Amino acid sequence: MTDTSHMPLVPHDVGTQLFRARSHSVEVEAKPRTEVTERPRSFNPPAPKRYYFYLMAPAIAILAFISLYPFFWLIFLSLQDVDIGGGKWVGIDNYVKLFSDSRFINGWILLLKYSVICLAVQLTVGVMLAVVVNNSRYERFLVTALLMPMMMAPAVAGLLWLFLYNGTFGWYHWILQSLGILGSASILARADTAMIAVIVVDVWQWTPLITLIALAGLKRVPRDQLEANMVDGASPLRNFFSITLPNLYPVLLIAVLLRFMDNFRFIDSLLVLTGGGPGSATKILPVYLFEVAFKFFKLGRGAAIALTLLLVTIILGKILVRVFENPKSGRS
Amino acid sequence: MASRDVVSYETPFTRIARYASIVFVVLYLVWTLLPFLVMFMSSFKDLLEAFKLPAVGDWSGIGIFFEFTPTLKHYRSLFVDNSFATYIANSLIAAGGSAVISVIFGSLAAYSLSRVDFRGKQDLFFWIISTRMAPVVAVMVPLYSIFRSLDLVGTLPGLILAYTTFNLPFAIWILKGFFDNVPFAIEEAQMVDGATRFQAFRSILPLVAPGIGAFVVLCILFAWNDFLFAAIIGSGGAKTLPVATRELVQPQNIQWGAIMAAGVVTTLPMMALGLVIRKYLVTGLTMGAVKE
Amino acid sequence: MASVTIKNVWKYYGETPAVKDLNIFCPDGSFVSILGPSGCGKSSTMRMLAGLEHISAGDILFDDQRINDLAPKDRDVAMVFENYALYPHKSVFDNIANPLRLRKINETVVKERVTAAATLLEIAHLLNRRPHELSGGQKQRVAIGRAIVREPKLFLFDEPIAHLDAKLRAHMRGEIKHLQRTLGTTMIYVTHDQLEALSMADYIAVMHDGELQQWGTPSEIFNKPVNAWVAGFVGEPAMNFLTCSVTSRGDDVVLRHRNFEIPLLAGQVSQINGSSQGGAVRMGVRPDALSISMERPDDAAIQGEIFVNELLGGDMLVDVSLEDCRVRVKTSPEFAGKPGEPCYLTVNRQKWHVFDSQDGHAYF
Repeated sequence: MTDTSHMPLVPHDVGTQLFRARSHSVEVEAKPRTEVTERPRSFNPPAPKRYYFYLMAPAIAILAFISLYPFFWLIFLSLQDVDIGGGKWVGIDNYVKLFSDSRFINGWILLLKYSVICLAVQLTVGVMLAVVVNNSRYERFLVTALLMPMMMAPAVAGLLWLFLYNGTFGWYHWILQSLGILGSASILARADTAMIAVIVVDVWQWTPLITLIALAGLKRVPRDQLEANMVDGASPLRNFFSITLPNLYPVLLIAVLLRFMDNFRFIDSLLVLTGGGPGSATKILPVYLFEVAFKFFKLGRGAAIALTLLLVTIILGKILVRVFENPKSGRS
Repeated sequence: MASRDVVSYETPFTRIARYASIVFVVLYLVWTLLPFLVMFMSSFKDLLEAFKLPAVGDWSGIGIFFEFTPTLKHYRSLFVDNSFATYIANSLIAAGGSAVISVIFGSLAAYSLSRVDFRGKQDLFFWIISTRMAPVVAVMVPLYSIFRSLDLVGTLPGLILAYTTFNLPFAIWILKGFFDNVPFAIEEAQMVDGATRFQAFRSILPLVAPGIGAFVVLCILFAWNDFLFAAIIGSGGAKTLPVATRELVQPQNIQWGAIMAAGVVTTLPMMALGLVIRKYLVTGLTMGAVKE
Repeated sequence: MASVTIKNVWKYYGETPAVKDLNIFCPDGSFVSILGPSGCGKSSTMRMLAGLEHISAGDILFDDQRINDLAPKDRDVAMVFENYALYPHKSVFDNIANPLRLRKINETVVKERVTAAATLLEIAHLLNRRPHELSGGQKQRVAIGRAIVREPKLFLFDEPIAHLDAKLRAHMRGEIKHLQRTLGTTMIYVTHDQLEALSMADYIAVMHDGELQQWGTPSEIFNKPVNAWVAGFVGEPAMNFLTCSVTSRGDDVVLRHRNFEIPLLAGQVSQINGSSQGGAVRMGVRPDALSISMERPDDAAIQGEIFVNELLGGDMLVDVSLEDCRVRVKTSPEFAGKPGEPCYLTVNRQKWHVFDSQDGHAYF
């Protein structure tokens, strides 16, 4: 038997199981395949199937209880008018009302605006940073420093930035004021700047993730393609745009997918920073949902909103997975 | 054999690019680390000192940031005036409990899913992954309603179960990738040698053990840093660190010193853990989509 | 087109020298093969020629121009990589057109040249495909197409056919050689496969451990190896080596082995020049310079015992056990000896070699 102690536990292609098709690996084929190294798609397990279903059962049961059951419960809830006291059946009334709810529609618009701006900034800065950090002499140190913000609880990050932004004693407020960018009112207190403030926090905390993802991608840009292009006559800048970047697209797509979904998922820091305010300036949909469901305890109405949010997340996930699986869009 | 880097030749462009990138990295480092510095320093400052700022535009006055007499009173207040010891315990139990449950059941399921093929497997996967990706608030609406009827709201078991909603799918997902990379041949050889199926399963555990260990830590990290579940499902009896920290913000009296101290207490252990499992961090944070 | 001069070139990776004081001159329009096992420094040499590695010491000249500090894009060379290094996100056409487009050549000309190159390589029907839709051999042609589309000063081929299967490899050898003749461009071809080097090149540079062992035409390399290492590396099946001593027997000078004594030919005695009289040498003889028979042909014949026969279609290889060693003989497939039977070997003394037992240099 081969020496298993040296077997890599997570070869590059682990990641691709996220997108089911192992054959559409993020990795570019480094060497022409002379033999089949991948496991065939249908395989004989070392034991009867039944045995594996037993092993799977507890996890599936737990998941069913905390995921599937709540999902149906959510649908059930959304068809009722539920208050603290109890519920009464209202059919699709909750959904109908959503269409005339300006805060609901506004929530969606703000959520999209928030996510798109966050992503645009994070991608640009993150990739630039990755390129600079890649193969730097201080790469290890830099990466370690970059990890720091991600280890912080988003709620704590929110509080920390609340302190930094504070209109009377916040250092960042002082810097912004001294630079003449801001007046005496805190960045969080003004409807036109509050969105920028929360985006800045998201950028601070999560740009490093894009950087790390891009960095992993950069390590896998096939060296010989870069070199072939150099011999073909490309300058370093040209080489970056015609070889490095196209090779990064698949991982960047993963990054976009993950960050987009995270922006839907987490509202911890935003909740702490502005709570959706001032007014409704930062009331992105999940925050609005939080308010409806857990401030006013309109669980039925909240369930309807939650379902729309869930639906869009699932569609988004499916679409992006589909795009990724399409050989034309990425690597073969 | 080849040099580590792709070759580069000195041109005016590369020279400018090099200086520009140094400036960029330094600026970014400052931007990324400065908030930590402020948090750390402020947690040792008396409030009056923490609130001291130079006059607007007086850049030379930045020095007063460093002028203070260190005090531990905020840390003391966390544990004396507040019961942060309990909150730490709550955080530990909730995060640890859900991590252990998730990884035990998750690894069994992941192993099976990696070893067997059946119709609908891909759909099962998509369900698992969407459970993990679902917006927390959306998951919480029905969960809250269900847990309330089961009297699980405000209890640690409730919180553990709530954290399991994202940790279990995460564990299954990631660990399946690990098991996929263990060749069947190892178990087959074991079974030919006379091992039972379960012994065969146990025989490959050492191969995935480092990964499993790392993902226990990652599950703890996700749960520890959670705020929403803890605020709603854990409210009352199972207050965790982020929630307790947030509660130091009161309309009349925001205890900034204590908040900064609580921030340090909440963040430091996770940073330490993050460094320990650094190798697996990117894999974990990207749902296994990217391996560093 | 250009001649290539490599003058006292060294390459260090950290403290480790990969190329040691290399001196090569490739005449304009020649096909030069750099041959050696992996880790011998041949790839480093090629990468220095392409500009993909910095030159640690020494100079490389194209004609009279020193190119040490030129970036690859300014050297006007074209390279075919071992792994083809095609751009997976570009079509075959765009792959081949890449060097032209980077030089901002008019798109009509690009189209013309790409089509011409593709036609020459018989891949014109593949121009719209992506690299992942191609077979290994087709990818390899695309990589060559990308090199020849631009008429560079110099072609650099880095084990371009190593990953093809044996049949295709044999076919491509002929094609590449023909291509180089047609284009007349200087070509430097790196390979570890001595057969490729022997069959294609005008000149071969044999490298080992970062040092140039021998420079010469294929027949010089094969027939007059300068040392035992080159003799052993080139030729398939490999040369047999037997440790002997040089002694006098009457008027003759003989090579004495434990179970034979063979006199040197008259001209060969002087080449050994007496210095190793009585000393140990290594006799080298290729399998086809030995003949085998079941009856003793003369007194000088070596007696041995057949160990195993391998029929290779047109030839037969016979392993023969001598007392303490084994030699390999190439003979005709009609040879009827069976393993275990005694047999006799005769050495073709026109074709044998004697090497110094210490430093391995060839006496003849």
